Amino acid sequence: MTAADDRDLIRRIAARDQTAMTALYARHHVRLYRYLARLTRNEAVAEELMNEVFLETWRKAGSYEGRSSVSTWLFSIGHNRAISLMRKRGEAALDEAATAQIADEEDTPEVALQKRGKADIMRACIERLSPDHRAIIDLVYYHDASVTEAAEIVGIPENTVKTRMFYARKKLAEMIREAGLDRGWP
Amino acid sequence: MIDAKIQERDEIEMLLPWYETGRLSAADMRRVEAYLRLHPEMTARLALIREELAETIAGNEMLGMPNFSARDRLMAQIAADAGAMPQAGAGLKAWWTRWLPEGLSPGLALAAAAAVLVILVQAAALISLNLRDAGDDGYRVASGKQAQSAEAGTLLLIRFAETASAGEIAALLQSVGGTIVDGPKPGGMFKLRVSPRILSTAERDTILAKLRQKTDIVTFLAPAG
Repeated sequence: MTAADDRDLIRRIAARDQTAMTALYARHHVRLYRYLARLTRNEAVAEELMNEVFLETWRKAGSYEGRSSVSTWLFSIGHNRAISLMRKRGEAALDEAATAQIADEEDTPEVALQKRGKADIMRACIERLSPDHRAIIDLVYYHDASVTEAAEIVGIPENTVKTRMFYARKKLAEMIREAGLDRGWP
Repeated sequence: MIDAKIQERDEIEMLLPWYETGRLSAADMRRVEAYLRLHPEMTARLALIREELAETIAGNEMLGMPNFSARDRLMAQIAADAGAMPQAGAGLKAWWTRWLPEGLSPGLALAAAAAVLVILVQAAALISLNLRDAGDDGYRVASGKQAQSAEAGTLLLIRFAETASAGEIAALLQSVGGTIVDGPKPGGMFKLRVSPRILSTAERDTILAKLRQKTDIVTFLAPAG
């Protein structure tokens, strides 16, 4: 299916076609769920948020203006809902400084490196990034978002997307180095 | 001049993730390629990006899929939404939302509604059983009608996959000590009793989790009143 097919599904959903809704769900639910699960670090919450996104899509399909792709629209709704929920719970404030404390309570970097492979350490460090940094890393690397699409999903200017990605990568490199892996950058 | 070079290097460095994923505009793609030709040392950064990209993908793929029951819940909500009369729905919603905490999401509101409904139905069933089982003096025998009532105990709504065999279904029900007490209902649903008593939420959830693992046999599962 293409972006044009997605737009056709939204047009049919606006006309209350439940089959089109099923098709849209089948096409996007796994990636949306994974984005929300990584962002919230809670799979049950991610499922609930994902359903809320699709329910909102069902109810507001008529207001879709087609300025961005349907995928970007869905992710944007999901991102806003997730951040809003995390703010209410005080989770959005959890940044790398706080998670670094968690890392400090584990083994020394050398021991950690021996016990876990390089890939494990990199994945663990990505998961410990702040929500803002996790979101941009996932959007660009896993969801193939362009600068423009990431800006629409997160709701920030395009230049901020570029700098946020840069600082997310820089922070990630620092965390990886602290875990015992020096990749020579920054 | 030096500042301009640093600025250009920084700008190119910021574009590298999108260069690697192929999501740059044609103009930016040409700009990055031209810079990399003149500054081959910058290509080492691409190797780092490829590592980050690979582990981000791996981390996401390890997450798996959402529970199939999430889809059933959503489609049930949508079907209800599609069938609701706007006027009546608005009135009921207005009445219901007065009882909910401010800021509760629609999904959680629906879950709360479902929970209240389950409690009301279970309470009604228990009251009904008590009235029926109690004699004039309130005396009730141990082998009262409660044990035989289809509505007694902990009940689940379940739908089986069309491809599931009778043997598979029987084995699954036996594994949780379940008995079909009603059905088939609209949508191919059956009412399944998993205990003659009202189980705690934790006990019930353990059984739900066990049944949900059998995705090739069970296509819908939810607590029933």
